[in-house]
Amino acid sequence: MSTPALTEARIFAELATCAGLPVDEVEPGDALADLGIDSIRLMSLVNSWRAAGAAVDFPRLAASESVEALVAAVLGAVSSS
Amino acid sequence: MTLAPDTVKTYPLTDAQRGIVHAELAAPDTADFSVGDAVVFRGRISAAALAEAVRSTLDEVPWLACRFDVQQMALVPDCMPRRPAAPGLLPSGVLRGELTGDSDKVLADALRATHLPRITLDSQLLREQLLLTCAEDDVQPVAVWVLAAHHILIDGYSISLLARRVSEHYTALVQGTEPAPAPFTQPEAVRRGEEQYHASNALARDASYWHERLQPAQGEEYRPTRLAGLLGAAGQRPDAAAVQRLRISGRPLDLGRFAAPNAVQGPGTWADAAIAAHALLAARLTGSTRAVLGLPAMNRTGAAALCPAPTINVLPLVVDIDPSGSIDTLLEEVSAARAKLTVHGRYRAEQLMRDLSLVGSDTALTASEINIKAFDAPLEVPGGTVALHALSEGPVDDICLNLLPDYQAQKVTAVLTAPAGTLAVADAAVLLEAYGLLFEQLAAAPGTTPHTALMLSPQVQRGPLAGAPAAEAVPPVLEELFAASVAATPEAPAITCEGITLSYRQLSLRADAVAAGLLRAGIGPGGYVLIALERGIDYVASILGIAAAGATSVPLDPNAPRQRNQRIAARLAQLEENPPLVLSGQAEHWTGFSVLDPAQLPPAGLELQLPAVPRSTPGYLLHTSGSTGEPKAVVVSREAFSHWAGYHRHAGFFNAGVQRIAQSLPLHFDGAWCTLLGVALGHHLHLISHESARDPQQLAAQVREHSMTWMDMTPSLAAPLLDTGVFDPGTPVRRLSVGGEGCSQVLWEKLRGLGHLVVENLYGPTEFTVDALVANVADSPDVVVGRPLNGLKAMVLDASLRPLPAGLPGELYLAGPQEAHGYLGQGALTAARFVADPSATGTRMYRTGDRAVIGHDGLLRFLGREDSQVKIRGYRIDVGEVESALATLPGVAHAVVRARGARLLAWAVAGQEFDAAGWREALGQILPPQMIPHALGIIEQLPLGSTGKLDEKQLPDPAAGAAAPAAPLTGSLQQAVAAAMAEALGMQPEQLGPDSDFFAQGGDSITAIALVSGLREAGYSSSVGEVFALRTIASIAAAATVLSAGPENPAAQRPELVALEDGARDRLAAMLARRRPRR
Repeated sequence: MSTPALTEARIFAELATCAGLPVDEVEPGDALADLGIDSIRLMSLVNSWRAAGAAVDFPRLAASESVEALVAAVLGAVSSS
Repeated sequence: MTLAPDTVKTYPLTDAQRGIVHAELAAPDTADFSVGDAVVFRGRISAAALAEAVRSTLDEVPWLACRFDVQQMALVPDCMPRRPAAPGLLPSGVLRGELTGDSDKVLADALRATHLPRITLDSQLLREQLLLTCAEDDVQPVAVWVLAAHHILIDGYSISLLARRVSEHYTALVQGTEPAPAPFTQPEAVRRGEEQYHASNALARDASYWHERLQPAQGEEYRPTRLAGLLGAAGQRPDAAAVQRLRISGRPLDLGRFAAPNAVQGPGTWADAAIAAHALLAARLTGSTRAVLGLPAMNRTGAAALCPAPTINVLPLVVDIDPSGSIDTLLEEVSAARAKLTVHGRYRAEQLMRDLSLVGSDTALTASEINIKAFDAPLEVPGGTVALHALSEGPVDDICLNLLPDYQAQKVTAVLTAPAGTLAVADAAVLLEAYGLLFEQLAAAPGTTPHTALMLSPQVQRGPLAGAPAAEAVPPVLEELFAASVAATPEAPAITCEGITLSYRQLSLRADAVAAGLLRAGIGPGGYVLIALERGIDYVASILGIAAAGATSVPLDPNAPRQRNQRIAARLAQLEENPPLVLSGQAEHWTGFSVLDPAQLPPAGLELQLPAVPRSTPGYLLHTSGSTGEPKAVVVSREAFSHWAGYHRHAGFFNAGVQRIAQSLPLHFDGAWCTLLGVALGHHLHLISHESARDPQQLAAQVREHSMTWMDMTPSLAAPLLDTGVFDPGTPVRRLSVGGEGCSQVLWEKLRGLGHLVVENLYGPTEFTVDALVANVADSPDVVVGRPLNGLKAMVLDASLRPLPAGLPGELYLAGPQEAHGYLGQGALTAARFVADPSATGTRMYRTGDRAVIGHDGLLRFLGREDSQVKIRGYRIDVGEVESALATLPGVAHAVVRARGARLLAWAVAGQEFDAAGWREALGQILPPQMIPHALGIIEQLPLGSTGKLDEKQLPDPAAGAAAPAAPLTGSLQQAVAAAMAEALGMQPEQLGPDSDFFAQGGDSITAIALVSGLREAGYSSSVGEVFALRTIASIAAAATVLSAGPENPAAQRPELVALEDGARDRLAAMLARRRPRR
């Protein structure tokens, strides 16, 4: 299965899938909890992004206060190689 | 080294920590809030580096080295010198060197068994830890860091944070690099986040959501799903591991169509299926369409994501199961509810309890819980891997499920935990298997499948429990049996009553006289004849005569109020075209009816022609008490009766030669037939008088005098009879039949002890003709109702009429030729109780309304109409267990325990040796504190109803009529204490004296608060701690002081979400004070 590159768009898309929402209803300022994303769902996202090359873990992503902060944390953890 | 107080940093509690304190407060000494984990390092692990890594990590988390200070409601650093992690060896039996897939489980099990301390809020150290190694030198193939702490410090998520940091430190040490800066946030940051939430709009929004969601249906109360207690006493057999919490693992479950745990989860995940399976299982077993399951809200965003401290908040997940719904609709419902719980998850469960007025009541917010673990990727260190194993997950109040995903194998395992003594291991295994099956069906079946089609047991075509085949297809009816006996042994004694004995020939003459009289009076086939006679030979002769005439007998209770019997007659007259006839010696009481007096009837002439009536013609009509008060009239046909009689003739006691039968049960009760049948089969029936039947001594004397060989009675009658020694070796009695009401475990064991007698337990509703299930007491060490009579079927079905596997409780249904016609004049009720049998076309089955379970030995167990477990102060208590314990005290002949309101009351029939002053302490040696009855009344004998069953309403209130206290109260303080105590306990102050002990009078920790409050209102200050310590009115009064206005308690600085008023705070202190002597 080919994984698309880890971009902001992909992160938004996968967040939306987890939240069961259309992707344009996910706002950068939304809090994770307000999207109804619980630990099972968040963990699956962590695994997906880790597989795409981001050195992330659950606690650091969960600490994100907003979607915007989460995107920054994920992209910031992508290894350059 | 001691630090000056103002340099010591204290950690005020977060919301979750307060919640935990409250939970420990509400559940006394038995609550176990120890949480434990094993962090297992495998590979080539340096023990020294690991120890150093652990120390460094713990240095970064100073609040974990604290103890709990109840006055400040905070964690304060413990001033004792820190012990280094003590190295030890891994428990023997753990595989070292070569690792197999099983070794972690073996390790976890061994650690669970040996290394878990019990930590309570008053423990000096709230945290204990061990470092376990297996090799002598530094390099370990396996090293385990065991961390055990009170839940107030950590939860599973915290442990994973700590394990991760230990790995980082270890890696840095081994590689010689600097570790990343400590990632942890302080509890202070979490508290700030909570304060922001409390001040925000989100709080109101969340409150509004929960209040609306938890609104119960009209007129009902809020009730969480409870699975503990499903099996009642039947689930608490000796193997139920009385001391340890139950924890069993199921087999790994296939995820089917659900995305693997490490793929992006859209709506409709395996977690939703896990919850749906739990909800379905609960609904099927409880018969409810609403499941309210406890689900922890994550609440780990923001500062809480990186703080090793608990954020636990278990909220109710409400699943309303649409009876016609499909798998897809069920999963959607669950998914939506779960998302909403996450969104509104910061609203504290403790606050919800206050909102719903549940605080102080017997209802919890949640009971059965489901925990879905989300695991991060396995950690790695140089030269090894790290895995976490939960050793103890915190307190369980009910049967709970924990779901553990396995990312490698793409499966998930369910682990069932339950409080000690809740259910036996075998039954837990069945429950877990049923759960697993439901889960896998949800994962594999097409989404459009109706969820009612899902099975709880792989045995799809499970047959009902069937009795052996009947000996005869068309057994003779009553009148045929009697006629045959008369012809066979006309001169043999048939019936004896008060010194008079009739032979079979003589009895048949009497019966024929009645038959002739009825026929002359125009009674046709199936015509109703009421027997309004005194207990005696004429009563029995009438039954036989009515049968011979082809009519239907309606036996009446001679001791019932006359109006009751008259109402029965009037109702029959309304319903039937042909007016009923009354057999009575007092025609003046039966104006409007044809009356015949059997004592005055002439003998039947030789021209007597007895009609042949169809077998379907009603044989008798008996009334059973309906739950609404109005008795139901059950009509039983000759056909049904003939089959019942056929069983007892062939397989029952009648085959062992001519019996001398003691007939002691009332003749208006169908249980009487057990022995009454003897008079139709050539045996000798002794009609015991009503008075003798209630007097064990008289009854015993008669048994001996007439060398009775067989007796039949209710358990309430059997119990005192056993005490007379009439069944001791040397007794003429050979056979005992017990039935009519549930048999207690205590009585069962006594009956089993009568090795020289054959003792059977019979169960049967009137609607199934006398009895339907039979067990020999030798069949099982615990009480069973056994198996169906020959030719009958018994089924335990769920609410969808599907058969349940052994071990799962459901409703008992009966099918077979013994079914009654129905209820006279109540067609709708009849249709509701006699329903179509889904497993056999064209036949009916009777729903008994009784809960039962098929044991793993194939024998049925009766679970009672209502839970035999009662709730007292939030505890589930099985009254049978308390009765058994009470019965072991010296001098106690019989014990009855019942809940009346919030009090657990006991009654004992006790002799001289009974210690009336020390019974409480004696019971305290056997039972946990919450199961000790509040009051005990000594009674002469068990009060029985008209049918010989225990009449609970006649049990007197043990507290009332207590002897007036010897000394009067002196002083206004004592009076005030007595008044407050009486108010708190629902008693009269006149019943109390200076030496009255609060707890002996039925007080407990909750009523102690009421006592202190009441005293405060009267202007006196006391404390719960003092009440516990001092106990008597005189002592409490002596220590109480006059209340003066003073400053507010300075410790309560922050507006408390969960207000702990002084009383509760004192209570906590008292509880902790009580605990200390035991350590």
